[in-house]
Amino acid sequence: MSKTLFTAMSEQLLAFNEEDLLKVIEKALSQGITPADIIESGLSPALETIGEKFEAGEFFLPELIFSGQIMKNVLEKIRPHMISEDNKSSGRVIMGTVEGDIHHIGKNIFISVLEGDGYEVYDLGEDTPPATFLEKAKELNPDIIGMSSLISTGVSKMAETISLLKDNGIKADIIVGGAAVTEKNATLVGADGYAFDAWQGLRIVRQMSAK
Amino acid sequence: MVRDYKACHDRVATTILGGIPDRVPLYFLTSEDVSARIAGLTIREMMATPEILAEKSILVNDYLGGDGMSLAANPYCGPFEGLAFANANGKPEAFVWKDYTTPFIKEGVICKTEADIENLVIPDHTTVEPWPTIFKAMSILHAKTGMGASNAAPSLTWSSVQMLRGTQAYLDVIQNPDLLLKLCEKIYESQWDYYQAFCKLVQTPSYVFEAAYAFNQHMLSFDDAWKFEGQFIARFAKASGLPMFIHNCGFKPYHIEMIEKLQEEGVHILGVNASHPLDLDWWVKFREKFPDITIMGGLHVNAEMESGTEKDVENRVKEVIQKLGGDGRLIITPTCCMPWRIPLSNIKAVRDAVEKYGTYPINIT
Repeated sequence: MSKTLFTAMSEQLLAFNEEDLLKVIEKALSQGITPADIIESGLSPALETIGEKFEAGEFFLPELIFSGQIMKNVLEKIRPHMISEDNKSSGRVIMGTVEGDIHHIGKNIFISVLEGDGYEVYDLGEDTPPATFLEKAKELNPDIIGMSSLISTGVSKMAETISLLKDNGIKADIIVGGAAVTEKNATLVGADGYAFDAWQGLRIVRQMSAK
Repeated sequence: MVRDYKACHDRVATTILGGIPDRVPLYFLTSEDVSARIAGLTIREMMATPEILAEKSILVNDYLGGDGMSLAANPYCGPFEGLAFANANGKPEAFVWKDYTTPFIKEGVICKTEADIENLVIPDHTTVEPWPTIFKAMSILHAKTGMGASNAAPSLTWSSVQMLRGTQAYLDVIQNPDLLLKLCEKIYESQWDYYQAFCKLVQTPSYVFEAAYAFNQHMLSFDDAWKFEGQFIARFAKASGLPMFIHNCGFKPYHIEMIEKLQEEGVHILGVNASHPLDLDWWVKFREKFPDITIMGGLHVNAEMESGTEKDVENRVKEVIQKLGGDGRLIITPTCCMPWRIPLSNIKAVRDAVEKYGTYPINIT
């Protein structure tokens, strides 16, 4: 019976049908299936499939964002049923578009994917000065700090921000991405990770938080 | 640097028309960021009057060198179209000015709701700033140099969709495509108004330099890119009767599929301006497939230009010219816009390498 419900969850998530997905989840919860099993056996396989289809060029940003949004809503729904151990977040991330750049789409897509994967994400918004990254890093003690920039001028601001964070002893791993960034200049600015797109970013964040 | 504007213009025009110029042209795409710093003025000071904007644009282009001449405030329908929408819709606060970096509109503020889309006011490009200032500056630039006004540069339509609708646009693709198409129609109407204003206040252009941002494999499927942008490019080309130069600075562009589809629709494609793919052998195959299309690119501003040595830059330019320049139809252009962080020594290295290797007939061993 559980297997049938897990299959139904995966199918509904892959069909981006939030309403029916929530119905299946409610049914599973009423049958005593734990939130941890719902996530692990019902939702995670579908998320992996979405990621694979994105990488294979079968799904695109609309599907990636939509699935992230559905997952965020689903996690809200099942959170009250979680015991404290289940309710542990995958990790804490602060995320912002660097100073001088007010594009939010790439950042928001990444946040949506991270939240869908159970990360606790603090969005610093756009046009975020280096000092704000530092202030929030001290306040929130994140596991990972993400920086995004679309414009070609954003890379130098990433370098400045990373330098300020490291000079002040911030130990969080730093991941950068966005249209302005390449793997090579990510290394040059001192980042610990670089992602070409949101799905690749999620993989790297998972590796960082598993350390 | 003293430049021979006529020689620069002829070099670029000859290349686009399929002839062989004296050497491979070099064209830097200026950004407000680099321009403001070279000019020593903030961006708003630089755009205070058309006369200042034209004067500083000449200064910036002469400083960078090469064969280009474009406005220091980028005249394509990017951020400044966002400003026009913000002004026309009573939301000027949605536009964020910076002293020395490119200004941008806050994404998703102007068309946050369905009602915002229904009630969206199309800017009159002859009266709503910054376009009158920009158009007049282009006229002055053209009168002084004979350059800088040969193309109109609308951005149909995804650039404006992203500015106006923000992340929600990507959800609309699945959840509310009809609403998104309604927004695209309004943006098209605005772009057509821009073009008519350009014709009226600057001159009738020889071609359209069009930014196709939707056509990227990491963003939208090809079908959706065509639905929300491509069909409008084709419509614009047919209505204006002008050939097109396509700009696409995405990392995974649908260059080939897009060009084939536009050609099927009867659109005359003059050239493509892109940074990616970085693999020059891909471009060699592109050249074989589309021998009549000019390639404008070869370098990525955030690769060799930003983080490489002068020798890296020289080697890349040499390789580009060797592989793609033999029969013309090549304009060396670090793409996209030049950020301030690029070392001046690398800008000089591009210029020197083009002079060293780019003289026709090409003879690189």
